[in-house]
Amino acid sequence: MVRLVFPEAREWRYIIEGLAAIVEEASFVATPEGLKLRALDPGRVAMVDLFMPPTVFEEYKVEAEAKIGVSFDDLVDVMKRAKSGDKLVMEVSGNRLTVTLAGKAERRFRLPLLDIAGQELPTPRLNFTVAAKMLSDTFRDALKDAELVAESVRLKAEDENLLMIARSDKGEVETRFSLSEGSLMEIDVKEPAEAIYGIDFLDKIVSKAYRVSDIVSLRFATNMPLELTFDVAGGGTLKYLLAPRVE
Amino acid sequence: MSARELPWTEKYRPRRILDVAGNEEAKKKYVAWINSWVRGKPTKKAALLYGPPGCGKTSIVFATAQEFNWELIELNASDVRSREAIEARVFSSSRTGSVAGYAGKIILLDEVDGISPREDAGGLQAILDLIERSAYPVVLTANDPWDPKLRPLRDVCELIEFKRLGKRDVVKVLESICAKEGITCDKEVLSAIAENAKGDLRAAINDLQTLAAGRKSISLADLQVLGERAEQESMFEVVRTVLTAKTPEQALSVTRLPSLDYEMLLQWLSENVVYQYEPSLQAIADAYDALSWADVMLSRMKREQQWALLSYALELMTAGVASARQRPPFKFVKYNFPEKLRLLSRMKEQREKFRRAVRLAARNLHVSTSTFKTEILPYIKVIYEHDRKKGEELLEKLGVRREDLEVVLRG
Repeated sequence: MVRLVFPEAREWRYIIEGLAAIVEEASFVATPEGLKLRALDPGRVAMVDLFMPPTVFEEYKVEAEAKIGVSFDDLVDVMKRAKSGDKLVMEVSGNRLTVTLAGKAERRFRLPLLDIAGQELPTPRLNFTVAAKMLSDTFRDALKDAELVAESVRLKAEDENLLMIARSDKGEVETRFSLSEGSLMEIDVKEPAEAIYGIDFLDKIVSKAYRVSDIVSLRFATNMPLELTFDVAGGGTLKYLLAPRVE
Repeated sequence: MSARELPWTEKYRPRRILDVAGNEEAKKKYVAWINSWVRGKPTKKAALLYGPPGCGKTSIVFATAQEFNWELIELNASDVRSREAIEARVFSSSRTGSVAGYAGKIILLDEVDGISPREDAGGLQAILDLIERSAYPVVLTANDPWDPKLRPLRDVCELIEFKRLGKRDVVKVLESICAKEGITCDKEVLSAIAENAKGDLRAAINDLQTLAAGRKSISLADLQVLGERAEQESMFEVVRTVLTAKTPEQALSVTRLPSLDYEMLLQWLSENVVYQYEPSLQAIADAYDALSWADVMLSRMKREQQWALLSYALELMTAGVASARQRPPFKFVKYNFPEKLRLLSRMKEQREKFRRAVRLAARNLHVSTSTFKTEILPYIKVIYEHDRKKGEELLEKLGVRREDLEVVLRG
């Protein structure tokens, strides 16, 4: 038996949409330590990693570890029905997930649980040399600019600056983030680094996840995956790893 | 899923290329190709591994991924493999590093000969694009690499043939699995399993697992549960089974073959019933009676899309034939290829000419081809019999080419 109560259904909607940007089907794992989900996209280019500790929930009751396999297409549709002020109750019993949106009326959605095969993904051990923090809106805007000319961007960190460069036959777009101009909130460059990432995935991730958190933390290293972390209010993290392009 | 329930074909998949059973020559060629990738200068960007099922094509790719710590990007026969699907699933992956921390990647597209040009629209072209732009080795597998639609792929791939495994190789693998599972099993039994699998290691391992379920030793007597593996038999075998079946049920068993071409079977039976059942006229009559009914069912099925009739047609042409009265005792007969098909293929060119000529003439007369054939051509033929020049002249005026005249007048 699993019973989770979350005070604001709308916020969950954004988290679910953030997950749905990457995966079609995946299993939440509910443990006494918290709710987790780690999954790769079908093409194994991006990984999403969600952790929600019991403290962010109004009620968190997990007797034994349980797998909650869901189709995100279906779950997103349900969450879109959430109105502001609705409370979210998720319950698992038998072979069903019951999602209750409790507002003026109590609306109950029952979804079948999916049996999703696949081994546990290990935490990749990566040595990042650059860490930065900025407003997710700033990052999103920069991506929109880059999208005008190219389908991939080069992230480059040197000194106290982070550069996003998009280049193609159509032209070149360069965005400079820096501490001094205030577009960066923090930056730590252990070693200068640069790597290329596909805009399609970056955009899919950021255009959904910016609603989860105003602030995004980036970590990467030369020709290594890019890690994007969005902190959920009250604890909990929504984290993405995106593989670099190889030239 | 607990480890015990894992199919042994998965559980004992080779972890190193070296451990893949048999096919030494293919392995050598494959390793040379992989090494050219490791050195960074691939001879060809993709390899096409071909051969019968269960001979290690897929296993060698799994082993490669394990051995080099590469991430395996896989698109199976069960996935949709249209252009969009391939682009979404594999394209971005083929040009990015690994997110899960692997040292590299290898891309496997299984059973490319199963890609349907219609349902998987653009799939083959997408594979060509993928090979062109991929930063990692691409491996394709196929049972039949000579399918014409695979031709463009053949040109860009290193072709590596995998052969049916020898019985010795199969037995060796079965023995090592038995040892690891703690099962006692006579060599005789393993050799019978291997025999039955006919060089398909996957089938052999599956059979072994079926037999071993819930016991620790296997004897020859246990083998009977397997039954004969429904293997693709040649048409000669199928015809022999039907015509010499001891019971109607036995004849019916051929309908369970994985790829029975029943229309072909009908032709083959029609051709050969006489040889097998002479001198019993009663048997021949009964058999043809059943075949004619089967033919009626088949044509009705196709004309009206009544697929429910298929089972009647199948039973009639197998069990129906085998239950003919007064069948003569068994004798060995050499079966012939259906004369009808032979004739049709020989006449193909002539029929083609006839059809073309008739179509032209019919169009010039503003009538349908069948009207032309039934209501006009007979008169022209009569005229031709009396006055050759006049007949030819008439036809030529209708647009029939001089070289086709003879065909039209005879047909």
